[in-house]
Amino acid sequence: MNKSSIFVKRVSKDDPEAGLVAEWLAKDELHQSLGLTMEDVFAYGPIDLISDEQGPLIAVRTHLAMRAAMQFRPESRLRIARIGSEVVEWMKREAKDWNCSEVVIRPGGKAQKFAEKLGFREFIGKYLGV
Amino acid sequence: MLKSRKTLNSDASLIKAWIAADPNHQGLTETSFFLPPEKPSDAKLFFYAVEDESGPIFYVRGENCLRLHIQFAPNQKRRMVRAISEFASTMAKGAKKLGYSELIFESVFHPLIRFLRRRGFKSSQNEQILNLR
Repeated sequence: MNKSSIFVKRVSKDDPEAGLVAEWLAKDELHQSLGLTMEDVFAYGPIDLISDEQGPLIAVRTHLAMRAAMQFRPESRLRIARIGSEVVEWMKREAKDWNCSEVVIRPGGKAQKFAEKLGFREFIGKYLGV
Repeated sequence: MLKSRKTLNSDASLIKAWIAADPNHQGLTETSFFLPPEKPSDAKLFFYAVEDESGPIFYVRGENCLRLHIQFAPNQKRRMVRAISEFASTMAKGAKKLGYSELIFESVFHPLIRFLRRRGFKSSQNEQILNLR
């Protein structure tokens, strides 16, 4: 088996390496077009800086999210619509109890528009089940 | 006012009937998905039945996921290929050990999406996110 070729260092916004990440961000057209700033990079505290033997390569910000899967009672559209905002508040409380910063859902059918109305935004997610 | 309680095995028949009547879940979701696992699990999971004044209105399964936001160094494609492969594998093992069910990231950059798809990442349809900050 190959020996590990990457190294990880925890970096805070006041560390010298933060300047390097700022340079990368400034050259990243996609992230610039999204309006990402160094404030965003360190929004959740220190980040991980991944290096290989030639130096730093990747900066990673991590935080916790709660994925919620729901099974609603069928043919109860009115009841569900009435409690929509209360459900969101309930989810927020649960997620915060778990130290999560986001709730992720995968609604199907008409629930997609309902979720948007409740404040969820579209997310082009890629995931790896571990 | 909503009330919640932990989901019980006695809820199974109701969950099964609701799944069967749900065109988005029937044939895709097992009843057991919304029930606490029979065997102890390292994964951080929760299962609740949520009720309004007329009784149960939905069941929820919660999982803890690790969200990644990544800034790459520019113009380092060859080094990046090796580093991302190793990084993704290391992160996945570490996250699993800590009880997370998934690593999630958001990207519209197709070369990266294709690259990670070959390393086990999947595109997630209809994903929506609520920021709590």
